[in-house]
Amino acid sequence: MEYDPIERLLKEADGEAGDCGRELRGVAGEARRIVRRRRMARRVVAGAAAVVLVVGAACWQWVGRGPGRETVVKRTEGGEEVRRLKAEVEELRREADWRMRLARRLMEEEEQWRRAMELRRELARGNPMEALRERVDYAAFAMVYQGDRMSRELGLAESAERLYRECSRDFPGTQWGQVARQRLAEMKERKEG
Amino acid sequence: MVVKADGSERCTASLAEAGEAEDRALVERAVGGDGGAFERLVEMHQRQVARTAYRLLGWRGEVEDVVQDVFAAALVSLKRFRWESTLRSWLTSLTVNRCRKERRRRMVRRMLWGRWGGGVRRSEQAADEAAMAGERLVRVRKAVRELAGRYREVVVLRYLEGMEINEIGKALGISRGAVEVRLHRGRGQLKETLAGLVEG
Repeated sequence: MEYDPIERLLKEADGEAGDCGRELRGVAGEARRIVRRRRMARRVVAGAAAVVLVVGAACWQWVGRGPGRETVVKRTEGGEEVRRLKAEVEELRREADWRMRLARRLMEEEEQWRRAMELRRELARGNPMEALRERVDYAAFAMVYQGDRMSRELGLAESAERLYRECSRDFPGTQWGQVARQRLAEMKERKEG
Repeated sequence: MVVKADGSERCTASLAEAGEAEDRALVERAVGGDGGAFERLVEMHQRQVARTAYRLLGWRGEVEDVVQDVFAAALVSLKRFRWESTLRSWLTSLTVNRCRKERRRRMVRRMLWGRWGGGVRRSEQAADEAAMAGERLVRVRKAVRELAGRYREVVVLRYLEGMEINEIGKALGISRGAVEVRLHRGRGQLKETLAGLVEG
């Protein structure tokens, strides 16, 4: 058999330590007593827990739901208060809903208007007739502007009259054509007057 | 474990079989409510349980409470014992569990003593002084005590209780491999701690 120094040392040390002391007596009886004690302790704990639960439930019943006179009165008053508060809350909720709907509608309308303007600008940008009209309008404006400068700043009334006449003839449908006609009428009045 | 000749091995085996048969009969009677059978069982195994507990607790202190506790647990769960191991293994597993609890209890008590009771008790101090003085076997016991619980258990069960690896595995509820690993590590630690003694 193989010699194991550790095992040998352990056995020697164990042998020297000796037995565990005094002789054991009545172990079986003591074991039974321990089991009985534990069972009893478990029962006591379970019983105590049950009693605590019952007392707790009774207290809760008495405090929260007991049918005592004062409690009934308080519950009634409390009930009215609760109903009133509920009604107020409901009213506030309705008002908040209405305001919310209004705000939403205003925002929608603003959005629609913004989108319409955008669309109009888009159409104007893409329409050649509109662009041409803008140019014609600008040409009429330039002629009136030149005429005004000639008559007021340079005193060239005849040249100005000629420009106004050309403008009213070439751009009769524009607003600046109308302005040119008005200038011609004023010049005629001044001559006659 | 200890085999001297073929004849003695056969003799040991037949004795073990006879012991197990008696255990079975006693357990059946005890489960049936026979108080005398339980007393006989206790009488047969109490010395073994006490010795195992004493070793597992580091050869220190009283083990009577632990033994009583082990048999109280056995009395409660005897009905559920299915003979998947021997009665001895089963009782060893109960003892190991109770010893773990007892060690925790002692550790807490020692900590409280350390904090409020003025330090280590005199008997423990004496033992430690003896160990420091270099007494050979005291050093060995101290080394075993200082092993981590999982290593100490397998070392005690294997070398002092003479249990087989499989049996230890069943008693501790771990695999054979785990027992071997713990045993190897426990031996390694002991070798390291007892370097001078082992070589000598």
